[in-house]
Amino acid sequence: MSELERRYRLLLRALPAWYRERRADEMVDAFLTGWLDEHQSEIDGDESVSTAWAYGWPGWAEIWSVAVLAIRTRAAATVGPPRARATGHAVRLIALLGLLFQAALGVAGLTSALTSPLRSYFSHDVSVLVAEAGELAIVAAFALLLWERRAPARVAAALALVSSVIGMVRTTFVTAGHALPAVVLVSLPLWITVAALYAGFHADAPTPRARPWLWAMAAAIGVGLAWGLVVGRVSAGTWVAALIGDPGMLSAWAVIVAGLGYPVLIGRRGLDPSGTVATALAVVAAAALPARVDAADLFDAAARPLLTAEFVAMAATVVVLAVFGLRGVRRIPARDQSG
Amino acid sequence: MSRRALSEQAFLVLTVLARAPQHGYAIVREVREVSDRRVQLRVGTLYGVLDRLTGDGLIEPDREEIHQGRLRRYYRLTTDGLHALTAEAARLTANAKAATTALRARTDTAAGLA
Repeated sequence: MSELERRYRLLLRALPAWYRERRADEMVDAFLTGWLDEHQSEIDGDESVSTAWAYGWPGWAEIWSVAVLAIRTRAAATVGPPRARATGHAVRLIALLGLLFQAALGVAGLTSALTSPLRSYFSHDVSVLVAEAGELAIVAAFALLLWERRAPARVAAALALVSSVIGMVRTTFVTAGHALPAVVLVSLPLWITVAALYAGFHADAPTPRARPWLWAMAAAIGVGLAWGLVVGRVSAGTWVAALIGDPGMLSAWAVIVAGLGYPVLIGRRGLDPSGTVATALAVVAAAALPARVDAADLFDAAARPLLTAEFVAMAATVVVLAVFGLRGVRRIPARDQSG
Repeated sequence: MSRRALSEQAFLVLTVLARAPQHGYAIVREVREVSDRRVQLRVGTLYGVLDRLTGDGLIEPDREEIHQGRLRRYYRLTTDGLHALTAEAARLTANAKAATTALRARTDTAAGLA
């Protein structure tokens, strides 16, 4: 076996095991036959070509094509064993739930910034409003996804990410209030959402049913708007402030409601036998945890016990959802039953 | 069941398989020839297309051979694949005809004005 073949086989390890069993040998044959065909005229006379055969690497274009195939097969849609398809379904749900979550947070943040007693501060610092508004590109990404416009949806999601990065840079280097790792962790839900959108909604992935998801988005925007309006008017130091004192607390309450609602409304009724909904909710909820740790700095010592209780409730929710998810995943065959 | 529109890559793969069953690299080579070197399929891309076409029932495995100690699998067009390729070719021909007619009318108008 030449080094080129060994390295190509190493590259194919990016593909899931079930796919390698079906395809690896014929892919290796196609790659090596193609390589030899391209270099046949040179291979005897040119020492560098012989050396490339013996010690070379697959080109970047081949590496990229296998990487894309690896994403498609790991987040499978129509091709692949049941567990691979369930994983793909969970990734797409993470993207959709994450987009809803980000939309609600974005609307709450922007509404709060525009209506709070501190709005004169925000109006002087336009970058805050631009970053908040930019993150609302997530709503456009969601709508474009439902209308089968995947390329523009990816662009809109990337725009939201760029806005988030601008916000990160501002927070870290301009206001100098936070360390960079903390700021990155706070934006983890957005990064995970965008990554799930890119990985899950590949060419083979089905388009989600528009109507229920559009209603869900309308509800998320409505909740975000109401939350932002209330937060903007809450007086500091009251118990209400300790419960809903910043827009980010919406994420805590969303996670806790999901943790209470899932077992009763979905889990016990057997509506999620594969555990994909629970898995997706667990990932979205887990991604929201670091932001709540960071938010503790916004409150005085008196509010800390309540914030700690809130964090514990969120973490417990993640555990409950993960258990439901894992139970479901174990029920799904990892391989095709037909062989 | 509604069928997804054929991508250019899928269309070219079906075109190549309409001639005769082929294995992976032969498909890559013939797609390059048919497209006048415009479409160069990488192996990862090829197998993504083959997975999709197999999943849609447009192609199926034909036979397997051992070539230099490695598996070589051939693919062939199914009846559904033949119908899909015929329909897509007719659609593209109609589009090309409409464009040719429009361009001829434009040329005639320009010649009349000159």
